[in-house]
Amino acid sequence: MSKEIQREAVKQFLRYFRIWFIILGILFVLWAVTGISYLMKEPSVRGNQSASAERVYDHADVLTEQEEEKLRQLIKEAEEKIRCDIVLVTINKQVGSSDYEWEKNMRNLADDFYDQNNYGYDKLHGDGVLLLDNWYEGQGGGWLSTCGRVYEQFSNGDIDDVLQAVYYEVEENPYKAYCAYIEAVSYKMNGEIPFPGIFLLIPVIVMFVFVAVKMKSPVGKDTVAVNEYVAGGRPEFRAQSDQLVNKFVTRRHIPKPSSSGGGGGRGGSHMSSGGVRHGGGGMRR
Amino acid sequence: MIFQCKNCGGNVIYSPEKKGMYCPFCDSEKSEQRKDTEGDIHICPNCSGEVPVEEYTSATQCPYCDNYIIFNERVEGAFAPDYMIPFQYSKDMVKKLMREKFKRCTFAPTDFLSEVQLNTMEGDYVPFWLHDYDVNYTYRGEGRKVRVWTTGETQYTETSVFDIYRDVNVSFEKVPADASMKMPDEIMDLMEPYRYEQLEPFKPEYMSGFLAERYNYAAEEMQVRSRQKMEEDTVNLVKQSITGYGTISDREKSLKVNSLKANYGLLPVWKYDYQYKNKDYPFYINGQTAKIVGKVPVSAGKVWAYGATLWGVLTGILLFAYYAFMML
Repeated sequence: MSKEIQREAVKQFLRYFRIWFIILGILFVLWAVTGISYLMKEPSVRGNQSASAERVYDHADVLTEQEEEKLRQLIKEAEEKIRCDIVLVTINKQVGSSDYEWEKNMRNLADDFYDQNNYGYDKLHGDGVLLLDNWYEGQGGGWLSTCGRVYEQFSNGDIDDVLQAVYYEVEENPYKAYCAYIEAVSYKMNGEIPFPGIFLLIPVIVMFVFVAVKMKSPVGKDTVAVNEYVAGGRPEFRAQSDQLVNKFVTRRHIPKPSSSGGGGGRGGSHMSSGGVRHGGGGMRR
Repeated sequence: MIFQCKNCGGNVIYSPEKKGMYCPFCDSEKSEQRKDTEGDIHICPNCSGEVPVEEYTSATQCPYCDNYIIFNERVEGAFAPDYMIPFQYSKDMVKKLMREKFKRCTFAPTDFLSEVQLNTMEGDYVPFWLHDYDVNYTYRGEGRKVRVWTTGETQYTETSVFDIYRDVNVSFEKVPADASMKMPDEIMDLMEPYRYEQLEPFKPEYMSGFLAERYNYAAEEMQVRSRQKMEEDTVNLVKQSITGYGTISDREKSLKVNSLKANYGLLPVWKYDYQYKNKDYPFYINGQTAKIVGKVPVSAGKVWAYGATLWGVLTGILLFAYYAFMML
């Protein structure tokens, strides 16, 4: 390949990706600017003063006074860091033994508790999370209610991770399990932006589609009509007949199909009775 | 013979743009003067240089003085074409069309559409046998129509059997088959259709500026190919007249050729021989309709470079946009 062709190839390449390079450059600058202002951002002050000051409600009485106090301290530190309310409620209450009832009631209890106590760090019913842990025999388990930024940021997987961390040794050592809850929430909300794995996959797919499409070159097709060379464009029919020679009917018995029902599903986000959007999930013991 | 300009003595050629004879040296139109030559065809009548001539070549270009030479004895007598279609597209017009058609082929080698490469294109008058056929075709088959309906819990299937009969006369005009060894048959088939409205009686003037061959095969030898096309078309035409059946099974078919006539014609084809990494990528362009046939080579280096760049740029854009948005 001569130098001249090589230069031309590079020129074509740059021209081809011109707009892409420009967009990339603009976004790079945007990223740099937002990044600097993000790092310089001062910790914001609590925006919601109407919330209840209490964070730990041990209605099931599974914690000692000292443990409760230590949890309050932990929550206070974590809240300052992640700027979200963290609430812990233990109960010993019958909520229904079927999964459906259990989930419905736990969810409503958790959401309503959050709403009624005016939680939310930035504003009323704003950013926060509440763990409702039920100790009732046979109906034990935790429900995590998320709200505001936590609701936006937590995937179903994140909710499961938190509940799993609690579930791990809640029976043996509830205090440690609830410490794990605070830790897990503050770890996940620690201002760390989750890495978007899908953004690595999309370009790969686009690249393959691009290459596949570009590999196809236009090819000449057969464009000769059947009557291309026929004088007058059509043949002369001397005889043309379609004669019915036989007809027969067969019968078959078909039983009516019986109808069958389908299953249902559960959604992720929902409105609480107070009209606040919550997310959440539960894990039974 | 060569065509010389009355005004400047240069080689006059046929110009598809001007639809007439043209002297590229002094811009004169219709200034041609036919100069017949005798003797050794390997000697250029203009410059006496040695011209390579193959067995079937009927028109060529002198490698020394670039004059287009037409060999009288290969376009006269038994080799005189009945018809020809003069080139309707000039080299410049075809170059433009090639660039348009393949501009989206990003992975094509850089010089694929370069001026230097495209200028190597040459215009060929390809010898064709154009056969006229009068045929009679009879067909008998069995067609079935099936109707299914359900009443209550019983399903009924009604099958009607038909006897199908067709008897047609078809007259084919000028079914083409190329009579050149150089030109691949399947490509020449793809060059079709030529529009016969522009068919003209043979005139050697049209050949000046192009290369040409006389027929390599006799009419009878090429009849097999045109007959095959004709038979396929006949069968398909009759098939088109049989509709409405679920299944059709053939019973009897018979085709009879009542009369046959062979015409000898020259049809225009532009040929672009592109080579990439020691492989040939020939392109053929119909000189009348500009239909292009050929496969574009792919540069593996370009595939990698463009693919990787697209991936990198896209990943960068998505990540920068995502993080910038999240940190707002």
